Amino acid sequence: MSPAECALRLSQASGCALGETRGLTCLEPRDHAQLAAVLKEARQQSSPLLPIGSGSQLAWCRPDAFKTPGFTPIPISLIQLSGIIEQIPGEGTITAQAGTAWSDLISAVAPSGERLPADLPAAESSTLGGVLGSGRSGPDRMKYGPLRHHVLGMQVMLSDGTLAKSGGRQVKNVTGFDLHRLYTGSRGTLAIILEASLRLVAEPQREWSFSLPVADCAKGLVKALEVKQAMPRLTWLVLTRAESRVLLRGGLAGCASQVGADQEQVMAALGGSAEAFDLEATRQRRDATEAGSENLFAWDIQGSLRQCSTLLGDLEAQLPASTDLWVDCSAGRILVGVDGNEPVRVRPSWAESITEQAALVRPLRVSSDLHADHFPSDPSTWTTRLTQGLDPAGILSSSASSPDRQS
Amino acid sequence: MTEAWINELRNIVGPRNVITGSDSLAWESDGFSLVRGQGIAIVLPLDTSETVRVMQLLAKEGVPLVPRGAGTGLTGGASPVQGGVTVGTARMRRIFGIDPIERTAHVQAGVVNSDLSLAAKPHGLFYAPDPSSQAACTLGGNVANNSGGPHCFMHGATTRHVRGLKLVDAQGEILDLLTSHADPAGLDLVGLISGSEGMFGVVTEINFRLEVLPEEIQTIIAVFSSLDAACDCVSEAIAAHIEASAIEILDKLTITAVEDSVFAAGYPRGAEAVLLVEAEGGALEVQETIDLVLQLAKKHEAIETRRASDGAERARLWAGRKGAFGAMGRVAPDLYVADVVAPRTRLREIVHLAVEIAAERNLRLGNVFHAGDGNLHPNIAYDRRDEDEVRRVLEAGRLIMEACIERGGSLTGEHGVGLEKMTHMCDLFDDDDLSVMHRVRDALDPKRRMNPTKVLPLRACREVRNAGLPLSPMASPEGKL
Ligand SMILES: Cc1cc2nc3c(=O)[nH]c(=O)nc-3n(C[C@H](O)[C@H](O)[C@H](O)COP(=O)(O)OP(=O)(O)OC[C@H]3O[C@@H](n4cnc5c(N)ncnc54)[C@H](O)[C@@H]3O)c2cc1C
Repeated sequence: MSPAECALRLSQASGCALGETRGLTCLEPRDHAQLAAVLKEARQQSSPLLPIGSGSQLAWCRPDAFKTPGFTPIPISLIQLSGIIEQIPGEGTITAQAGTAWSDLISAVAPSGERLPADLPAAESSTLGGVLGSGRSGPDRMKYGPLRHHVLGMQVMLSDGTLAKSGGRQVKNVTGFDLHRLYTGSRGTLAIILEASLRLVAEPQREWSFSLPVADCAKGLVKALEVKQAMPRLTWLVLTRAESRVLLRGGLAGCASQVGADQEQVMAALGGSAEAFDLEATRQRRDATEAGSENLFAWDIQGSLRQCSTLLGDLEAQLPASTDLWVDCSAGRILVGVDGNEPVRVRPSWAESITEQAALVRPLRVSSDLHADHFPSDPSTWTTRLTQGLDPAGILSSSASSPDRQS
Repeated sequence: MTEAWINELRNIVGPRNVITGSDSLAWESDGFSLVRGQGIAIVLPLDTSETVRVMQLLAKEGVPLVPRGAGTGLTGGASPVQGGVTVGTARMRRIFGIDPIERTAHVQAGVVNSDLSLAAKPHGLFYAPDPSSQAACTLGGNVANNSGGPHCFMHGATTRHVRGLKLVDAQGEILDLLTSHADPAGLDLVGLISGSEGMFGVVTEINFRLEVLPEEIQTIIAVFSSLDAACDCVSEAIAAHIEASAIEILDKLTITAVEDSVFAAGYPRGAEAVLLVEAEGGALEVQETIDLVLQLAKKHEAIETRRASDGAERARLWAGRKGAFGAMGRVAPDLYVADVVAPRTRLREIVHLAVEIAAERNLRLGNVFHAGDGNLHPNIAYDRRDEDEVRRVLEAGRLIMEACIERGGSLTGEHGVGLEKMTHMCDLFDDDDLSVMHRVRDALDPKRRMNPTKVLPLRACREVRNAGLPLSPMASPEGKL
């Protein structure tokens, strides 16, 4: 049976509507009861599901990349479960349903002078559940830390239909296990996120940014470490290589007078001419954030900042100058592009050669052959034990392993 | 039988590092002294590899175990109430290294909190979470409880500072998550383990994120003639997105106790409330924050505001705040330290309620709390020999907790659930929520040998409620379960 036929069968049996996302047929439950009904049918039919939001981050697990239809997970989109549940000005938090667009959250908090704690690319096409499920963070993680640190609580549905919450809506709370931290970044393999609460940050009074051309990425990273040392209050700092041009870009945000004073210090540390500094700070930040959209890249390399310096030298030596690179200088993360939008089918020789030096080298645009490489599991069996504990039927967790290899 | 494996433990860690019999008295409870439990032995491994051997032996023998740091926890989390073996980290005191480029520190779990900032200082760095017990509590205990402290208002609680860790699980297997990367892909096991109160294993090593020492720090106190006014001032400051590093309130009973003690900080005696605010960062932003606080304090009719003139005065103000629990020992021999969370827009209302609840029961209540985070500590001074007073204290504690939950707050902001609040988990979560937590626990520790009978109620919530006495484990002053 084809994935579309599977989806139709699940839809007919559960009464859940079908929709289409990025060329894929998906189930679109309208409420918790419909979602529970789909899960029940999926268990009965042993049909794996792939929870998604709007499908913008599907490259890691595109159902059409699987060769064996029986094992192909059917996308189930939470897009219909959207809306803000609670936002009390003065509390500094927001709670919303998983299908709520990230851009709607941004608009909702702006009037009270607040901002979401992560600046993400493609805010319009990203949903809260999708952002959290895929464990994304923006370049402003340098100031605020990764987004997962700001997830205060969640409500989820397990594959057996159990509705469960963890955490709460308060900025400080240590009641019970932080299961919401576990679901964040689990890519829907443990549970389906239904709603989540986030801590908000203050909208800065002023932003300032710079964009400095540098000779190559390795030299750019040395500069980045220098400026990071000179100015601990940088909000973001990235290196981009696009169309063979390498730029070191970064910015400050916060109290107006402090940003004014700090920018002088940053300029002095960079030693660049004043023309290199663009005063259209918000546009610069947005542009640098969008440039780091995972969808534009094929490989994700992670390591310490020290490892990154060595890695960047090696990558520049091995990759053609036309290959795009994006480096988050606070997280030690390098994104590598390749031409075209096709799934990556083999690990290139450069990826093999740097595997030893990096903490992780994983494909972002995955073919079924490389699928299992995308979702790293821990050295002991904790990931397996947790997935079996929460999803014994393997309805959600099957997408994390390579179904084609299983078959 | 037992003697045989205790001897084996001695072979692993050395005879001096296995404590039994009358020597183990100090390990029978933690800072929540109403509950005591007697274990078979206390074992103190030196490092991860000794811990692995200890845990493998205990797994083979099927012995329950309780991880323990310094025993300063305030909810009974480190008390061996089900017997078994206490695995302590007292010998795990090494700081392996500080990395100034990555701004991280790799430490053993038994390192005392304040020692880390001391070690980081020469590198221009510090470790931000600063529980008031920081001179005694261990970093492993901080991770297990996801501990907070005054400066967590700006920097966040412990979990936000853990980059990686190494844990030995109930089966004696190592889970090595000491990654060098700041934001690793895959399941966030570090996030799950932080705050899990010793129920998934013994944390033996941690990689912490450090902060750059700020250029400028300013500390002020604002004195109020009512606790309500101090609370309102904080709620308004939060709504104005104040970027302070710490926002604390001390009430009259606490101020008096502190000023009468060795922690005397120069807080004005007779004041109904003192607001203690610190700002750190660049000189200009710090100035702006302090100006805003002064402006709001004036608006809320502060009777006096004062700025710490130098580092010594600042240190005194903080020593007074951090010594407040200890200073309350002057009021009565025992202190019930409550730890609840109120919505930050309803601070005044909930603090007011706590005052009323204590007054109605003729109890001595001192409030000292992390106001900026809505994390209240209504502390009740009592004498455990007075059975009726113990009963009233527990009743007041329960009512304050329920008032918070009813108004959108939470059970605990930093001290954890432990034994004290275990049955109250049903006030916040339902059976399904708790069953999922049990499933996670069972996946990682199927025999439930790690820190048994803590955090998660073992019975269904309906039965817990019908039992009527949610705080029964500590209802007896002798602490017998
Ligand atoms: C005077 C005083 C002031 C305090 N102030 C604060 C405060 O401001 N903020 C705050 O948050 N807390 C505060 N506390 C509470 C307490 O200090 C913290 O909870 C602290 O983190 C406990 O650390 P510990 O080393 O004493 O741990 P313990 O009390 O020994 O253990 C606490 C819990 O952690 C587990 N555990 C300990 N070590 C490990 C390990 N290595 N691996 C796995 N599990 C482990 C134990 O099983 C137990 O459940 C205060 C306590 C006192 C007495």
